[in-house]
Amino acid sequence: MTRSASLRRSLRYLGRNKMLVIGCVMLVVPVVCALAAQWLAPNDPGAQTLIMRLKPPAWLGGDPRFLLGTDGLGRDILSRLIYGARVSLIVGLTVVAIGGTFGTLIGLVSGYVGGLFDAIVMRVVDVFLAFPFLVLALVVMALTGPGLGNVILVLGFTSWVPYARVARAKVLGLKEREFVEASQALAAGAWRVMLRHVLPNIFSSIIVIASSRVATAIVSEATLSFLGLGVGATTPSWGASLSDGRTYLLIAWWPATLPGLAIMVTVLAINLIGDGLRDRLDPRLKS
Amino acid sequence: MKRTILAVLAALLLLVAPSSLAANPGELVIAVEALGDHLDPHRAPGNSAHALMALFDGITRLDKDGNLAPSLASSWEAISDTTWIFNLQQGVKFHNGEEFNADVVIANLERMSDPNEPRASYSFDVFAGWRKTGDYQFEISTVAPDPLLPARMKNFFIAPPSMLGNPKSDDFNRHPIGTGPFKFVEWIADDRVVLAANEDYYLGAPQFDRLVFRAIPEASSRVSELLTGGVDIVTGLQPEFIGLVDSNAGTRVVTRVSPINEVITLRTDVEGPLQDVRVRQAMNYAVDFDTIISTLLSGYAHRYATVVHPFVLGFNPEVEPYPYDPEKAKSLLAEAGYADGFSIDFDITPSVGGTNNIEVAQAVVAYLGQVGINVNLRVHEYGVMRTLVYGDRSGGPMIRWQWKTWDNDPDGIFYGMFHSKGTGTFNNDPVTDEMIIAARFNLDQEDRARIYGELQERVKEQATHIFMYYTDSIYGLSDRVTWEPRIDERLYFYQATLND
Amino acid sequence: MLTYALRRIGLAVPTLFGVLVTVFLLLRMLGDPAVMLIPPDTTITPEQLRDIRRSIGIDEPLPVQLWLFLTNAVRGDFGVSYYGGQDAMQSVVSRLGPTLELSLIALAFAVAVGVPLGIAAALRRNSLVDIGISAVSLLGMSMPNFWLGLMLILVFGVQLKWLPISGRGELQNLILPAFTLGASMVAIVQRLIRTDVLETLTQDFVRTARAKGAAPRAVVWHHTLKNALIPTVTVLGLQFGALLGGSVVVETVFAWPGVGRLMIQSISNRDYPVVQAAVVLFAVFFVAINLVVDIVYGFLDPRIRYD
Repeated sequence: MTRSASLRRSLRYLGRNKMLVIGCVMLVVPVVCALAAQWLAPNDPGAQTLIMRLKPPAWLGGDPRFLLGTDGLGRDILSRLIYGARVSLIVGLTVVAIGGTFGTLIGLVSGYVGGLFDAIVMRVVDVFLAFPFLVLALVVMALTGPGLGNVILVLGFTSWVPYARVARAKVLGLKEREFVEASQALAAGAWRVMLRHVLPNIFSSIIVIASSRVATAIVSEATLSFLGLGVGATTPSWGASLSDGRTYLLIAWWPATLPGLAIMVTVLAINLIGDGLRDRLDPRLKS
Repeated sequence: MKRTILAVLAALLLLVAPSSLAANPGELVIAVEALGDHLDPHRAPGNSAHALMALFDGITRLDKDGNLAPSLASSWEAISDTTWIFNLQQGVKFHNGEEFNADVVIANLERMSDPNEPRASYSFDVFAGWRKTGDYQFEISTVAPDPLLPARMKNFFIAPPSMLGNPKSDDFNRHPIGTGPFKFVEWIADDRVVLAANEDYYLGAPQFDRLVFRAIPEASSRVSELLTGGVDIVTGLQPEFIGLVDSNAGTRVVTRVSPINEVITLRTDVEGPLQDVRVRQAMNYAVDFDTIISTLLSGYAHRYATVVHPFVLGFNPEVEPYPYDPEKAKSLLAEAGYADGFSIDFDITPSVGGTNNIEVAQAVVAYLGQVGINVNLRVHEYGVMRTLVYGDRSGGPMIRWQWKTWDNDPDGIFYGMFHSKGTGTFNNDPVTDEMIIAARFNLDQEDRARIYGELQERVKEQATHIFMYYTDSIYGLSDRVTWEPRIDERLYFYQATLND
Repeated sequence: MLTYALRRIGLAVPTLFGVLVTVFLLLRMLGDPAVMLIPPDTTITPEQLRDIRRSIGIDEPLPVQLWLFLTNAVRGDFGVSYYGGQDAMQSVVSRLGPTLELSLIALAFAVAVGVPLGIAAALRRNSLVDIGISAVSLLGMSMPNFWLGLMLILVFGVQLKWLPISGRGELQNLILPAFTLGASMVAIVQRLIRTDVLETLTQDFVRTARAKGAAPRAVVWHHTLKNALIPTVTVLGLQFGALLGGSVVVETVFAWPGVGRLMIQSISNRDYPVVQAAVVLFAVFFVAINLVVDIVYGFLDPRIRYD
């Protein structure tokens, strides 16, 4: 099959998978904002104009300099939304990268090696599942203090369990299959077997989990901000803006509602992409 | 399927229809951020103080303006420098009918001073002893002359003998009994404390029947409840909401100055530029608090020179606040050898410092940056911050902290934040120490006022803190309530009236 | 069956032990609870601070404290609150009712909305209807709980004055918080059901039924749904734990006196006995629910053997 034929086939498939397409289209705006924030943002997202606090969006009688109005410190909401796309996507992607890599590796090794190591890992997984996530997050955030890096670490290292479980289950299933047995018979190294033969086989499942987890991470960041343990006062994240803005909801709807909408649209887009990918990658669903 | 959905919808509509949001006649509902963890008046205080004040009476009390007033003790006097006699009210009965007398007071003092429980008061170090001198009279002796002794007795809530077994805190949580203007009805943790008027209160029954404290942690939910008539009083209103509450039909705003002193401690007990007094003074000159107050605090705060409010004993009007003078700040820094500035850590927690405190801190950082001081703001969780300040004292050289002035007397704040043995002190100035002690063990109020007047000059010049401001406490009230807030921010409703 | 259940319970022992040790050590990293018990704006002497430490039993060396904690916990004694002196486990248990009530209603709501949506989406797979249903059910998951809650308060409480805003009491008080909490779960249920129905539709017995002329709708109701319920029950069992944990935010916004609020307050107050009791109770609940789910699984799908 030539390259162009394969491309054409993919495109045709994409055309059939409407969720994937709609999700991708919806995600264009936040991704562009994240990549080109410094050129798109009309104002410095951190600049405070105290006398311009809580000005409504321009078309509702606000100041033309602040198209979407200002927040409680007189900062430009539009600029903060644009920079916030960067923060939120970084949070979503790195959390999944950390949790996904760590979890997959643990699950892979655990399933492959088996025995005592597997038993111990599974007990740790059980403890993690039975332990209220929030307590862990609150304690760790209290110790490390607010900050983007700390939020990512907390969310990352509390999200590895589902990957580990899925990876392990898949490995256990694959272990019995012939081609793995064959490579073992050829005395290929354990790591090589895992990376060459096992990993590609579980990749689609991992991608499906990961795509929904990106969205969860973005919402979790907002929740941590609500509990006072977020990225901190200066980072222009959607979650922090939403959480700070909620104080003024009764007198000014825009500082909380606009970042809320941004989160909603982005998370929706990522979820649609996740669903689309699942239909595409989950072989059981191929009709 | 469709029928089920219709049935569910119909049921929902029934629920929605006429929900009773209106207030109950004779019931006053107050929304606070958090209720306390217990109702034992002798244990470590949480936020329970408001309900405790309604249930119990102290030996003395403060009136709403912070002046000492009779309570269970009708009068008192110092019969020597170290001995005080208290005469008790007669005919006072507990909610369960038990009699109040001097034996009851002595039994309460014994329980309150038990070191085996986290206690409500740590004043017992000044006590040399106590004894009953009559059925309605007792005597307290102190280790040194203590002008604040009668004021300290306000924290000593009196419980009936039947409840004093120790440890029996849970009896208090289930059914606290006091002599106060309200009787216990119900406590649902983190939800509400319900109290009923004590018809037999020795000063006369309250004007209304039920008093309910509700815990509503989220600020906008509290305001929403006020606007819709679900609650009658909300505390801790942000200045931004004043317009909303005032313009809403049936609600209004009242304010009262807060006795809390807002400061940034500049530590001299750790190596660094802050050990030079010129640097500390420069930092006081460098920040424009008038602008901060008029913008970030919407004008609801007041600048003052040090930590003595105008209504507090010994206030010295001649000591004026550091003016905003960045040039002077720069030249002082240059004199001290920091013409190029320096970098420094600044610890803060959102829970300490009142309205918009994080934003104010960010503004302070920006002002200090303009004179070359590069401040690294570190935001901590409250418990972590408290450990940094009161525990291992491992905080940075700049600490945002606050301290309340009790009893309209500056002894507590001066000892607590300026004396080298104070729990919140990070400096050591022998002259200041000496002056604080001279005023502390001194029964001559005029002489004490004079010493505090001089002390304000001293601490301003020493500049061991960036002196900031005190704020206004803002309350939202339903028009059906007549009530005046207290200067000490305690919520006390004996004198409140409802016009239903 | 019985041996299977016993083995599962046996596996729960190391899990619970791990939770006990983890919560103990995690909390000790948070520092000295005695400083939280100093009355506000009061100077106390170092001796008095030591008294406080002794009175709440944190003056012993850490290993001794851990040993005492573990041995007492095994007997069900989690100590007393540092603040009020109440039995820690009793405090937590007394708050469980409101949280369970809220969570169960939210779950019921999510199932009531999610299952029909999931079936409809599966039957019209990859059509605009499918996408529309996905988008609608994902909405709840896409909004941070606290934002949705505050918006509902604003609309139905402040503007329309239809529903009470906060607190627990009348049945009406449940509507807004349960809707807020349940909205985040609709998508989970809907997607599960959709996938499972799709999967079952491709299986032989369904194909046979359809080939025999059964209407698609009837096939779904009679054959598919029962099979689709199996994995759904599993995931919901796991999700119920998440629901309990996730209710913290909703409880805060709606002033609901549940166990989630108790937990965050106790952490910020450093009331360790209460946090420990809450975490352990949560873990026991989680383990128990999953045990039950596994057994229910067995009833729904007789093919599963307990060996």
